[in-house]
Amino acid sequence: MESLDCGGEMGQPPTEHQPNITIVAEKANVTSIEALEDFRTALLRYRDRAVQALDDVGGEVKRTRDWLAYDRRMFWEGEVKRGQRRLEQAEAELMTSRFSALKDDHSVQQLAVKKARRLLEEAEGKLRAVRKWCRDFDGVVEPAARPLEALRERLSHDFPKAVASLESMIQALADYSGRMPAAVEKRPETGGAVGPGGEGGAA
Amino acid sequence: MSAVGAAKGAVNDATRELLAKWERVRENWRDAKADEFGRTYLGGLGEEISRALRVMDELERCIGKIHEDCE
Repeated sequence: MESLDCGGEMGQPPTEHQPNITIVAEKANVTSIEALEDFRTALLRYRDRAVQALDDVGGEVKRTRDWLAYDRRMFWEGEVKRGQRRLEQAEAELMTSRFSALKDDHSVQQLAVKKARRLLEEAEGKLRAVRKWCRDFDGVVEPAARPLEALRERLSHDFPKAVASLESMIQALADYSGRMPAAVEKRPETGGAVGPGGEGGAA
Repeated sequence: MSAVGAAKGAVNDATRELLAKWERVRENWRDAKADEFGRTYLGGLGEEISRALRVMDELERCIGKIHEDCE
């Protein structure tokens, strides 16, 4: 591996293409531009993966909130109403049975009342839990998720700066070595290519 | 696995991979600029991710409890 001593200012650029260069100087000691380019790509991929994960968490929090507020509330309110009707019907049948001169044994009707009462109590308990979670959700779950915003902030602000910094370094080394830096894939969210030296498009 | 559990695994794996790649880059980039880059942009990332994973753990537990209570 060739070693170039550039001092504070870079000397004459090499005349032929060099995929790997070593610049040993006061400020720069890089033995592979490719390693820097790979890391730039790794930073961009990392940012995408981490932002996607944070979006997934945010989505799950929102879905849970909606599930509670709409799906569960309606379901358990319906179950309570059905349970009340079931209990009224079972109690009416028990009453009829008690007044019937033909029957002494009302155990079947009694069991039906017991079962209907138990189902109603269960549904009422679930509805109470749904209402409690609906009340508490914004005060418990959303504040618990809030610290994740610090990570999102870092990914949105610091990572593009890191990529831009790396790109200017890669560009300077490529200019010196006479080598074209590798382009990076197009970043749809920025509407531009994150390419060599493209600091503005690195977000 | 819940969406939060999957996200936790994804962040954990991605961070591990990124920091391992950074270690490899450091073998080819040894100067003050690399130190500064590491300090400025990657310093504390591991701790921040650990905090984020703890937050995700808590959220996963909380959402699991909501499902258990209201299913």
